[in-house]
Amino acid sequence: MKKIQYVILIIFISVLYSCEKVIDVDLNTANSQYVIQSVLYAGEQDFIVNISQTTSYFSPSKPEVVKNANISLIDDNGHSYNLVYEDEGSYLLSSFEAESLKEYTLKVVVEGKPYEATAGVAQFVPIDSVKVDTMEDEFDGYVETGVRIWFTSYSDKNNYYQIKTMINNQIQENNHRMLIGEYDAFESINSAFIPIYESPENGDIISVELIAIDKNTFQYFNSLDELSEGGLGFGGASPANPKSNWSNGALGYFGTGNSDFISIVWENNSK
Amino acid sequence: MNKYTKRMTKKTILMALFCITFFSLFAQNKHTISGRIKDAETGEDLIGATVMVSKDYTKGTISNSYGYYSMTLNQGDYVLEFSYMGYQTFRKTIALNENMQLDIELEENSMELNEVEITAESADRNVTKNEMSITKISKKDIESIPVLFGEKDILKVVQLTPGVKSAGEGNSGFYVRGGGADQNLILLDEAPVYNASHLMGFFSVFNSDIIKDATLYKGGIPAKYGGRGSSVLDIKMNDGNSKKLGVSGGIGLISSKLMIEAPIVKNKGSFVVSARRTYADLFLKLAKNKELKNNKLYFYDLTAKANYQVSKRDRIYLSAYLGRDKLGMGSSFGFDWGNKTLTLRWNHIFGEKLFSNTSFIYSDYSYKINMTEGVQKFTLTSLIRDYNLKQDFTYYWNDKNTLQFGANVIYHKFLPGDFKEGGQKTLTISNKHAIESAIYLENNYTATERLSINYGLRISHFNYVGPSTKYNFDDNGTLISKDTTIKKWQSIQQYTGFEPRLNIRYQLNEISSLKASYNRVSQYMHLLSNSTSGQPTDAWIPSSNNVKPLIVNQYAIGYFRNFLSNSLEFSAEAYYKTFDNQIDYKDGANLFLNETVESQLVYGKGYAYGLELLLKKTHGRLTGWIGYTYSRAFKKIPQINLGSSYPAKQDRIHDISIVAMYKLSDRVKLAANWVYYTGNAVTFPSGKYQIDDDVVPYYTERNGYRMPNYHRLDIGVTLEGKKYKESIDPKTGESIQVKKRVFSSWNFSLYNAYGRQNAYSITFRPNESDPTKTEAVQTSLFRFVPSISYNFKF
Repeated sequence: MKKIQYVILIIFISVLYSCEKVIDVDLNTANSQYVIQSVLYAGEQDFIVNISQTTSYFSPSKPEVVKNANISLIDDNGHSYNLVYEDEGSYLLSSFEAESLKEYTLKVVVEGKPYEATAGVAQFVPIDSVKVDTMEDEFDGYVETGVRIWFTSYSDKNNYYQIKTMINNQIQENNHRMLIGEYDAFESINSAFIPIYESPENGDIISVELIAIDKNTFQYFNSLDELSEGGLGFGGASPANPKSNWSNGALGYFGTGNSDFISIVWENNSK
Repeated sequence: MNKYTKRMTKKTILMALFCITFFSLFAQNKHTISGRIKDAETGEDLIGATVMVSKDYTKGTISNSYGYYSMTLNQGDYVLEFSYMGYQTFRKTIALNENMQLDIELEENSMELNEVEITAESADRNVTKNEMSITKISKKDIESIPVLFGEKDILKVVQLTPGVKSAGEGNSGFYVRGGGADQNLILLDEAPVYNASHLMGFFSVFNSDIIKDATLYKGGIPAKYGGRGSSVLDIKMNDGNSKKLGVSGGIGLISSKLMIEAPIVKNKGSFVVSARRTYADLFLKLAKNKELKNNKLYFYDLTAKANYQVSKRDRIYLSAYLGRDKLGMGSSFGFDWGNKTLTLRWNHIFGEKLFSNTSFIYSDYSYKINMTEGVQKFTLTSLIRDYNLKQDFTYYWNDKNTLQFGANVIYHKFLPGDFKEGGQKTLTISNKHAIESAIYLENNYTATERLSINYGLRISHFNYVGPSTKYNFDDNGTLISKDTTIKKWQSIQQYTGFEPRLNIRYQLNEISSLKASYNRVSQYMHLLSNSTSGQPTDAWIPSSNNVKPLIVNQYAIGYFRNFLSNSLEFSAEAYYKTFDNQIDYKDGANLFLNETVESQLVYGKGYAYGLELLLKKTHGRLTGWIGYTYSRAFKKIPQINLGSSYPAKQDRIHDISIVAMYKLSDRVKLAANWVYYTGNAVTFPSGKYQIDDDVVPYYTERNGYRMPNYHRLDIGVTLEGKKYKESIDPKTGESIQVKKRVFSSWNFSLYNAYGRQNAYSITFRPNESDPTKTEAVQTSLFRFVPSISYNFKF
């Protein structure tokens, strides 16, 4: 729905004189902060945690990675599992089996300072079926092609999902983190349309991953998307950092997911 | 009527009776002269015309907003002078042996035809009047000052005066003395206008043709006004020509308008109807994008007013406004929004000294979003509606005291959002209801020739009532409990506000004075908006068990001085304001269609201070002003910026405006204005980090940065047709000048004449071709915007 509010402004401005240019802005550099990012998936899988640091906004170099952290994952029985450093700021716990509806706590200590986050694994939601489909955009009448999946929600509301799509095992560039969940009158709670922007050929394999996530994870990534979409553009609300679940001011997020997969062969007869 | 309002009404009546009986004791040996002052040609009431006893300028009064005056003098013979700026002064000798009525019609000053300062300030009013922090906007200013697209706009002129800041490029929203955009009470013939802008704020809802008088109170707000913390903009509409039919209109670049006025019964009543329609969407047809071509985007407004003199003592007025913006995309999507207001008023004069006005006021703002085709058919409606009953009295006690008192009760209804899919309601945000009432009393007391004091008290009361759902949140905004059993009229939360008001003027000498003022205002209605420009979907919410009323205290002092026999006015004012229960939003707040929107709010304190300098030239070929404002505005909210105070978004340090109008000849007028201001306080990133493949900005300082400084020059020229034609007087055979039946004029203007690329927004994003690099991108609007309009009147 937010789209409507921007569309009006965009139409108005686009017919008037507006011009864009890259400018120099003198920005302060905040004290660097740790960014801890990881997702714990249900089932037996490798569990990876990435730690890096913030840099100044216009810095051309890659963020500095953190190599000397002590990391442990604790399940809700109090068992602790230590992660080991791999490379590029990545820490690994191989073949860990996380269970649905259980809570996990991740503890990280960097240079003596502890950071902690807790997250619950969402219930598994199976994909029932998939088909190649089209959808008309509600605003400009543009018809998009893509796939639609059907799934069975376990309750009437408060279901949150992230959807990933791959074409022949390649991640779709423009749709890499699709989130659904907050009440949205345009969406059925038991189906989702996934637009495919990269014009696949007939015979290509489209694979869809439906990841059930918890509400906090949803909200974190949702506000992250708003920020990277340039939500601060039209002088709107003061932009703010997405609400992290890390203690002690660390950035990033400890999220969870519970995935189901389905594939379909692309057949688009309208071409 | 609930207990409280009953009690209040009783109080008011008692007070009125007390005043009448008590004050009449003093009336022996004195007599009152009263009546109405009008324009001789159109019959329009003249607001603020002066009545003076000739050669004794300490005795005098001014006409009220209905043209009524009343003055009590000792028995005797007097010469009275009736004057109004731009009109010929009228002198009348009277023998005051008993109370008398005298209606006066003033002739326009023919040499200055059409250049009437409708504000009617007497020449030294700036210095002598016991009011400060007010701005009168004259019709001449509105008509001459060049504006965006040549669309004459009172709110754009208001923004050029000290202490008032535009909400953004080309925007009609404004901030007064550090207050938010929702702290301005905007009244059109007494009716509050909830959303005063069209088309995303680029135009105001007020068609300048029908505006008769406009006054902005920035401080020292009189007790008769209440409900908004920072200012009152009181706009009064024309009554319509009560002598003959008049038609006027204009054709402009983006809109056309037409106004018709005529007597209902000659000299007893009149009406005026005015309509305006924009055709901005015609430009869409020029767009290359096929999708854009099928879109609609326009607004219209209709204004009508009628008045009728029922008897010598009674007059009724009916004013109405209807405005709507329409946006359509393709064939199936529609979005429209707008205001409706209606004011029914009855003036009655009791005796010679007590003037009464009773008003019934209706106001509503609504929007509707419609999707008529496809699988996603839906309708979303939202509105806020007021029913307001108001009683005002003015008691012209004696030459030292004029009392004003009254009461009002408003019933507010909020319908934040009704969502229907395929005829079924699928989502409804609970309706809310409230009763806002007030009583007030103020006295304008002239203590000595030098000292006058205006003091008053307003007592306001707010009752948040059912039917509604009552929510209880903890300090973090987490829902603790909700109560869905609140019945109709059941009180959920009540607040009472004691609002003292004070204005003092001390005349230093004939040309200078010192003034001081204090006011306290409680505001019970809050606009939730997380954009600068104001969106049609922004929602008003009432104070409740969770949201406390905003309380604003303002202290101001000023020095006023006139130069060059009152043709040059100077004023310097300083103010300090505090804001209690100031609202801000949580990081990432969701304000749109949110049932528990109150959980998204955080509360704290605010303060603002500033200095305003104004030098204004009111007479001669060159008129205009230079204004400078230094001002700061801060908020302090525990959950934001780690609890340290931070600049409010309207914190703009320096603000300069220069407005000049030059009369080259009787028919050619030039106008220019230049504005400069410090950029708004904004939040920019102080770092970045990476999540998956996304570059995410890192924020550490709320409003810790500034947009680039803004400046702009606009120029305009008005060419008027001849106003007079040569004719031969049939009696004397001499050649004389006769007024032409039809006047016309052309207006050309250029907005942003030197084409500065002012920043409308600055965004931060990864470079498109090289995502490892990040850059800041500035968007600018409106450079060299020319416009042309043609106006006529007959």
